[in-house]
Amino acid sequence: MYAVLALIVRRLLLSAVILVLVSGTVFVGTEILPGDALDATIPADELMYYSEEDLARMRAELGLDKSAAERFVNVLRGLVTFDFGVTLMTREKVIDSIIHPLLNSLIMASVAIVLTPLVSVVLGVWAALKPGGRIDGTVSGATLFAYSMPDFVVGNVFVIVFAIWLGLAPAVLMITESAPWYQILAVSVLPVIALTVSGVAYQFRLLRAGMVEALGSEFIERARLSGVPEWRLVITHALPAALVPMLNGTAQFVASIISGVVVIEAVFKFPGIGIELIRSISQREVPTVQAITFLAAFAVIASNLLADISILALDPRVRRARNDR
Amino acid sequence: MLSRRDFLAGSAVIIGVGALPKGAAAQPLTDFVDSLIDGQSPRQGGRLVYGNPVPNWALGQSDRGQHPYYFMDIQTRGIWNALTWVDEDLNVVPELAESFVSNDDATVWDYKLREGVFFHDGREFTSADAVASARLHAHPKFGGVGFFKQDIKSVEAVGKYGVRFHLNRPNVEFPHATAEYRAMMLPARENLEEMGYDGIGTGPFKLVEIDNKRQFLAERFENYWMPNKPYIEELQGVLAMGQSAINGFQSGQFNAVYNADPGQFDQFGSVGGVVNSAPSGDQFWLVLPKNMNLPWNDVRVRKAMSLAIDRPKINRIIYGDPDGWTGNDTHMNGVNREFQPRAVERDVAEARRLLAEAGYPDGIDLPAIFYCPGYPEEPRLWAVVGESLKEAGINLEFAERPCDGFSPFTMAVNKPIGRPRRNLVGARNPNINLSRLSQLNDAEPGGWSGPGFDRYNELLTTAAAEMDDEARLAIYHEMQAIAQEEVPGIMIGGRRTNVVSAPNVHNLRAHTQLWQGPRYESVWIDA
Repeated sequence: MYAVLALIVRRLLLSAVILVLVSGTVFVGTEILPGDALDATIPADELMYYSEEDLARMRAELGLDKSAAERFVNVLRGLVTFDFGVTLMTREKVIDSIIHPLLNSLIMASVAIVLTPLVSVVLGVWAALKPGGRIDGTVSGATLFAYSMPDFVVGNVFVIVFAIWLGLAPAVLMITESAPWYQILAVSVLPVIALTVSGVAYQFRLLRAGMVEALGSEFIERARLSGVPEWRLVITHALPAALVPMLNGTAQFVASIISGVVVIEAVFKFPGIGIELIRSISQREVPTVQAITFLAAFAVIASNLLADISILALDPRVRRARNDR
Repeated sequence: MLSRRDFLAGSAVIIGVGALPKGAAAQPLTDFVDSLIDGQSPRQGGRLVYGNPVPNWALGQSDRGQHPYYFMDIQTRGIWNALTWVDEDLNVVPELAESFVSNDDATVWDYKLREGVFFHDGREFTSADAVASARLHAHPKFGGVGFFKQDIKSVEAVGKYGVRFHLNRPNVEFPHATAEYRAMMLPARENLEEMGYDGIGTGPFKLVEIDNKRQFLAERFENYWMPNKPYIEELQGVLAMGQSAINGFQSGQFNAVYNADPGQFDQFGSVGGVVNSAPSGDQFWLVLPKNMNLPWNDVRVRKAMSLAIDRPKINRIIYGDPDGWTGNDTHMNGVNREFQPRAVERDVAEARRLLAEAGYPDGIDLPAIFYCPGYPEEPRLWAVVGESLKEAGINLEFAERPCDGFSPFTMAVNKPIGRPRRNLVGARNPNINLSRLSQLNDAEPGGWSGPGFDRYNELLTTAAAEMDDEARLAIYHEMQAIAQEEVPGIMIGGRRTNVVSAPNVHNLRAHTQLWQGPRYESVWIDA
């Protein structure tokens, strides 16, 4: 037990270090290379409109006249305390401008993150019960096809089929950015399904492979010979073993869902953080880009941490290995 | 209906400030509305949901869309009213005013206000509100109506239902300024800076909610000053960029789309959409700063640019409107009676000759011109412009920027002119149109100067005080000739406002001056 706790603490510390490194990367990416935030805001062909005095004044306003180390400390302090500063254009607090879109995206992504493994498990178990059978072939073929489809294609096809042809969902999400969560949830159905397609396809394949392997293993065979009912073999013996690789896949899915959110939100005009990211990049709003990038990295680190802890909880072999050390 | 000619001749009722000119007891707006529903049996109820593929250009300035200055659509008359309205023939008529009249030299204007008008919060609209609104709009710091700032010296109440404007200069066309999209009447507040942010107006609909980046919802105002109007219960506007407009219409979420891409008219038609186009609409004006060391400081380069642009091709390809009008390098619109076309439509050989004479025999590279896709077809339009300029050896990139924050972006440098860019220009009366190239406008002439500019300004002042409409016409023609000779900027032209609606939506009409339409009081929807 002590070893498991130590592992969790170690992962937490490692996550903190990674966050600092991410902050550094964000800082370097947006403030140092190839120029500073002002250079990123003003393309080279526009510099003719600025005098040296203009540039010096603007650098001072943005704090860019300070040393890189000093700026890094400031950026780091701001990022880890979730104080992202103010926007360049309107001078409003970055957090105020992104909080509603952030929460909306969290709602949509959370549903997708919960739904994806559930659907994957159902499909994976169903297909693995009779490998090579008609159901396995159909589901495997469909998921391979879905996995090869880019998110923007899936999103647009969904709009055409489910919204325009069948009228089952809205083609345009008519909702305000600050709408209550249940309204956001209500309009998220189609975007969530579009968002889960590739994740389900990927995780299904991991789970199916794990299930086929587990169901063919010796310990399952022994259990079967000792008279354990088939449903129990599948649910309580094979599935936990097959879930471990899928959970690792889920952590990866969380990372990929962030890029998926940007695409899906753009297709459906969902009032989320992906739209804000596109807007801030096109406006060269460096503080907003920094904030969103940092929060995305934070989400990936947190999800990986959760996945590790879940594996510890689910897989006795991992716990034993830690305790044996 | 009051015609421009009647208005200028002053053949109307004089309220009492002076003799001729310029009285105006124009045919009431209500007659126009009634004429639209004449013979129809309008049904009460329903929700009009329109998609608008035009981005909220004011977003970068503020996200407080309750204010008419920052409302997500320039069509502010759903929620608010102004003192005057410009009709579909570009004649000015009273709206919240009942009539207006000037003194002899058009430096003092008296407006008599309509009685029995109420704000959405139940308060009566009186001269105190009109005066406070006018003071806000003309305020040098908080005000948002440029033509008020230009002209108004002071404003005062005359009784409970009268307002008197004292102008800095004679202006016989002043009532057009009080019809501007930002010149809405707001509930008075002691502190002008606080006015307008409550979303309360006198318009046919009350604002219920707004997300300035996405949509607004408004409901019928039961105490609207036009009895029994509007017919529809709810009005919802949605910013629908890209494919969203056609998707929303096809799926039945929208029963109308404003400012649709003309390239999609067939698609709309295939799903039952009825296209209504106005005679003209907003136009694109190229601001060419001449206060920096740039090649177009030479008038020959500017002339070459204008001669090289293939405007008829734009009308044909972009608007599907080969017979449309083309810009004449002023802000005048093809539907203005005073409009004077350019003498030569296009002459690539002459453009090349002018460039060579200016020292660019092998062609020229010009600095990028910025635009934000204010209308869905705009990126394609600039592609055609860029290609036609290339035929004359002129390399000019049109660089796209987001509309959110576009104005601050363009004005962040090189004040007061800003970056080379395209400005959106609405169709207006000649004096306002031509004033935009004068010394009254810091930015759009782009630093134009010299004897031609001086003469232009002199003529503008003369025209604003000229009572005789034929004499004014001659002055306006001379002004356009000067601008066409010196090309301070370039007008593309040819665009027409449009509205696409479902067949069961009635009287939803496009207006040449975009922000004057639609008149929602006449709109109704079949069950």
